[in-house]
Amino acid sequence: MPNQLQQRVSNYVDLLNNDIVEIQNNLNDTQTLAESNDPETLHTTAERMIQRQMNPAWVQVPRQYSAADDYLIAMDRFMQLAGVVGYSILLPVDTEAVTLVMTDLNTPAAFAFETNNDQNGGAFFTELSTGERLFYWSLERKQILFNARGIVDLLVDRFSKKNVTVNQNRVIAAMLTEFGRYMERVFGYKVDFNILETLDDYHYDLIQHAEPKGMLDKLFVLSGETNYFLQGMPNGAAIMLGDQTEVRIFFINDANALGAQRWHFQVVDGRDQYSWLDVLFNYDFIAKWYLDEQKTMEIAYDELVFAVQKSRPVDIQSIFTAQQGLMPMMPQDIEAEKAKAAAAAQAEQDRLAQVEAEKEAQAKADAQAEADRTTEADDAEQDDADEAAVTREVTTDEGEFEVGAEAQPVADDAEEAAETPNETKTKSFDEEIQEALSSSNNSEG
Amino acid sequence: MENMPYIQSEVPDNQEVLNNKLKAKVSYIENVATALNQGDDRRVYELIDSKKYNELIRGVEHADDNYALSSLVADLQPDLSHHLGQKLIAYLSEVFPFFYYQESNLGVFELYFGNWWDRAYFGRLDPINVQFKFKAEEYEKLVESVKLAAQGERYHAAQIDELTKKNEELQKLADTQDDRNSQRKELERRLDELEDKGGFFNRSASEEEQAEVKAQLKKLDETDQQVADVPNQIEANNAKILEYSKEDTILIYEQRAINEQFGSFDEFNAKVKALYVDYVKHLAEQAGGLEDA
Repeated sequence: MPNQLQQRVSNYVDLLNNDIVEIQNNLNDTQTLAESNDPETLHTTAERMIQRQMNPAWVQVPRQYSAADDYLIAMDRFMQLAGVVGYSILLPVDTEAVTLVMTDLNTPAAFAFETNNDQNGGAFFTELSTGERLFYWSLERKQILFNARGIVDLLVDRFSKKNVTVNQNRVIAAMLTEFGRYMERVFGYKVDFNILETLDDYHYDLIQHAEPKGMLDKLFVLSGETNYFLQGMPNGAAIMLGDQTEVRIFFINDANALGAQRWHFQVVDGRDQYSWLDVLFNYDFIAKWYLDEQKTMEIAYDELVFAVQKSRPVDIQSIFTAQQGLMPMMPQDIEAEKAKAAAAAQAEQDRLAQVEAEKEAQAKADAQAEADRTTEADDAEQDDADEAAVTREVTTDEGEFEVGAEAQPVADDAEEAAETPNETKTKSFDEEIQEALSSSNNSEG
Repeated sequence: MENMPYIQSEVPDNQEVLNNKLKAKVSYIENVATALNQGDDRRVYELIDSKKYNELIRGVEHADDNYALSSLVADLQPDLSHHLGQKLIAYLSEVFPFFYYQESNLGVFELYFGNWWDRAYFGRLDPINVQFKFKAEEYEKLVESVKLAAQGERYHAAQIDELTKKNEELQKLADTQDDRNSQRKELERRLDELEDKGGFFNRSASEEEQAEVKAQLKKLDETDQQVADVPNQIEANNAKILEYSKEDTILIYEQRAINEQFGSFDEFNAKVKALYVDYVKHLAEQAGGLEDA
């Protein structure tokens, strides 16, 4: 019969073991989510992970992916399988939080999931700097609901004012649509595409906030400044746009609707190619009109799920400036690396100063030779700059991601200073010496 | 007695003449019927108004009219108009492609300018006389807007400018509400002060100043009252601006349509005037020339 101490130790071990088993399960799932290429496996794994309440009391994991991150990892995997392009995932070394960014976008924007904490579960795909919620995703109910309002506010209203091009906007819309279509096709998701729907015979439902006053007159006047013109049609109006695209705005008599008229939009192009969102991207006057008329009526979205339209905006600057990499690092390691880099930079500067001095001496000593070499030196400097850039890539760029200059690893001023210009100059001088030593065969060759 | 040849009633025999007249009428009706059945609209035009036809198409000066005969079909005008309208509208859709028609009653063709949103009701088409009967108000508006367009102006530009300015002023009035509120606070404070220290000796001076402050407060009340109605006024003005902008847009479309088809408004007017001649000659050419008449 075990004594009390034995009993106590055994209990302690059990408690830790329970947590460790739980953590181990989660790690296995995380690995599966990252590695599996089987859609069903990915889906069931992701579903299990977001339902698991990881809150071990006895074994602390200093850093782990949150449920919100699990959603983004899963989305990334599905989009990878669906062949969706145009986005990257940021991988900060000092935290497990992941964000999605567009590879090519004229304004800073970062996307991530925000879990919905009521009993319905699921998560909102959100642009962090504006808090705009673009869609809602429930793995359990196999449901994706797009938010027409959030998509319009972000892409049509905000982005177009920030010099985002039509093409860049289209890439985002395509990413959302293709993700939805993939989930619909592969897992039989119920997807409310609303503003993204491209089917010709789809009648966009509208939320009618007020009776339309001069709504079509306004569109008519706006169209007067373009090459397109609004035509009357029974119970509404239509406009022929470019690329055989026709937009119809009409109502159906319905005693239950506001003003007894239930309004719809329709986009007909003969190929199921364009959505209402595409129309807003491509035709500024319709976008202007729609943004103004949104208070009267707007493309319908799930008003319960998006009763709260926006999350709280957060500053995304730190997301972009954080050091990125494939290898997670502890704060002290990052500090150590920074210190190392700073020291290296200092050493470089010292060396540079010394070399500068030597250079001056050399110049004074041999003015004639210097004059002869001037042209050759210029050419050499160019070569050196290239070489320096290559060197830098090898040493500091651990990741394979491509997210534009802002996301490049930039730790602090010292490191930055150490990177390009000085290095280039120094190396070029090395090369110059080399050249001086070894005759002039690479300048003319 | 009965053979007494006093006075005899002499009724000359006019049977022949009457028969001829009746024959003429019958043959007129027959001709009209034949022309209608053969779809020979040119002949119909000749029959229903020979004076117009002879003067305008044949170039006969002071031709005789045939109203006596044509009055025979006068009560058939709606039917004739409907019949003639069919070919005429097909022709017009080529020559005046921006006009659209709706037959509201048999033979009554309502005329609309354009196929754009809220196009203007522009009058009627009269197929029997082959002419447009433009609604004077709309036509005059178009004439005026053509004149203004030559100076680079829009028909309602002045009214829209005025309303826009008015709205700006109204907005300014609404925007300065905070200023007025603080002004009011200051005046009320001043008034309290004056009432408190009225005292015995400088009562009259204080009363004078009080009256002054009260007058200013009253003025503020009036302005505030005005401001309360500003949103309504702005909305009403915006509705008017929209109405004017819409009409301007319609007039621009009308001018554009005319210029695309005719090159100028004058040329359009000339074609409108020449419609009878152009159309009847067109019918004759289709039938193989005028000489068969």
